Amino acid sequence: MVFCANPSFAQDNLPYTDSTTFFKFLESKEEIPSLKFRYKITNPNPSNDLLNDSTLNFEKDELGIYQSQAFEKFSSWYSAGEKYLLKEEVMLTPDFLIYEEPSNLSAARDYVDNLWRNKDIFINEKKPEVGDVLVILANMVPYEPMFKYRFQFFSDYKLLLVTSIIGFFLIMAIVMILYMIFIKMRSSKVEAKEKIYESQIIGPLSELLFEKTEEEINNLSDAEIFEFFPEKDLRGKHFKHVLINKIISLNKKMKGDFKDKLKALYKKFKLDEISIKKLKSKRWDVITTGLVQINEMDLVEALPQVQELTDSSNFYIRSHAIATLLNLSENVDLKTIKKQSFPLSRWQQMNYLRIIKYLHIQKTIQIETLFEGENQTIRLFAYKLVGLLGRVDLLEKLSKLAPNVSDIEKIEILKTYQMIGVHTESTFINKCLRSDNINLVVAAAKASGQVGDQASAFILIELLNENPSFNLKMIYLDSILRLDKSMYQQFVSTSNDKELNQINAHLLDPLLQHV
Amino acid sequence: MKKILIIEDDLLISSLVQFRLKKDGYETLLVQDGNEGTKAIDSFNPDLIITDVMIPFKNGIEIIHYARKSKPDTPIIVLSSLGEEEKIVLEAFNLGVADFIPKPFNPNELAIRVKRIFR
Repeated sequence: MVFCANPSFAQDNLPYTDSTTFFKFLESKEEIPSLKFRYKITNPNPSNDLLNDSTLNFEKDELGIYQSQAFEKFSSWYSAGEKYLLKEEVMLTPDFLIYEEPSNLSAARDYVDNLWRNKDIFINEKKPEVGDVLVILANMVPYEPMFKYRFQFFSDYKLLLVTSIIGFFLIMAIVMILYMIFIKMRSSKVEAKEKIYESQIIGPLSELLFEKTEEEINNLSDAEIFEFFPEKDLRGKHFKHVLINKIISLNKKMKGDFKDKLKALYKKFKLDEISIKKLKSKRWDVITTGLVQINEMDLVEALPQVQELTDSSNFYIRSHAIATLLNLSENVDLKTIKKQSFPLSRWQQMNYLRIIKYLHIQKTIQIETLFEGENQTIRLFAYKLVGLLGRVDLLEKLSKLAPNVSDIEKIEILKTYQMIGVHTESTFINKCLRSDNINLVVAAAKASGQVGDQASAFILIELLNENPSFNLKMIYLDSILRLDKSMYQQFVSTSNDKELNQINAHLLDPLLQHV
Repeated sequence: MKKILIIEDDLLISSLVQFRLKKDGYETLLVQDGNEGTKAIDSFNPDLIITDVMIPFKNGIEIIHYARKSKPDTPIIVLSSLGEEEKIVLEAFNLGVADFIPKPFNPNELAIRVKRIFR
């Protein structure tokens, strides 16, 4: 079996060829691991100079041969023996120690050969000059602009993070600006288109409104309509959108037969279908737009769909739906409001009141249905309506309800009694004056000033004797003054309370009375 | 032919009024803001001015003031929404406008009032 050494794992070419180059190699290497150098004297009578050389430090071995000390550094060994080697009579011969074992030149060379082949030793490279170092360093780092910075940038995660965030926002800003420009351009285009459509609409619309009667408009055939508005335009979604807006805008600003003609035209152009279709949209703003259009153009046929939206979870949808229903329903029974599961906001109450107030003149509105509403805000709204619309016919029902409702509702009922001037409910008012709920007491005290009786005045004096706060004293005293002036004067004159005297002065001052 | 200047920023309303007045045989000029309105008072030399109160650049009152100085005898009809700008409407009356038509209005009614003024 033959072992073949892989040449790639060894240094094949020796750096020396003969003994001269071998010694030069040893000189360049300075030291070879486990290889030492010494001299031995073959002359049987060596000179005293040689024997006394302190550097070589000869000693006699057991065979009687003088041997120098062992040197690890070749140069030290050589320089120590150089002057004696030239003298033939000295008979100094080199000796080698491999692992402290004496060897000859051939063995030492074999040993170094093996070390070289096994890459245990290398040629000492010449130390470069300063200029060379710079050149070497420069070669090691090839010129690449931003190379160093790029490396630092990616290794510094903080810098990378900050730069990424700034970059992200920069990109977002650019995207947003581009998006805004796009939107602006699109809206400008739409506006320009709308202006063109508007100018196209004005003429034919004016002609239809002034030249045709409502009946003639209703009897217009499609061909006749297309004489006023081109068929292509009238089928366009955008054109129809502009037409809807223009008709509704005119409807708000016109009155008399023009309103009826506009409504007839709205249906003739089948714009009512678009408005009703909007109720099916998923977007709340589209639905409310549809509701406003239905309300504005009196599209009664859409009421069943409107009814479905009255209990929508969206505030705007249900507000507009109820407003539309109240406006357009032939029989305004307020059942829709009664069924509301969501609380009525003040804005909604104001909005519904505006419509109900207007309808109240033409129709009898069943406010009492709201008394049975499960939602407290609806019942409160009903009590307010009784007072605001002056529905005296509902006072009897209210009187039956009042003792059994919550304190908040009692307060609202008291306000209604005060507003209408119900003098028959003093028992209820006096009962409220005895309540533990201070808000109810205040409402009852205020009401008693207008619709209370003698008993109310006595209760108010009792309350004053309990030394309440300044504000309460003022309310109670004001009510007593309205109820019974003599009782008021008697009470004030006998009282030593400084605050009561101040309030008295205020209440009786003709200038401050209404402050 | 009598000349009527209409100053109204709502193109649809003003066009309807113009259409109606043209039908009655009047020569009309339509402008949409106060600046154009004052210029038209001088250049068009109208026999009647119909103006809205709330218009861009110069309001109806400024138009009336200008017309009173420039053409003191030209009658003016004010078109405006009822309820809003109450003070302005009262001021317009104090300045001697011929008539006030609240919005919403009927263009036929406006035409009758115009006819009455020219009589």
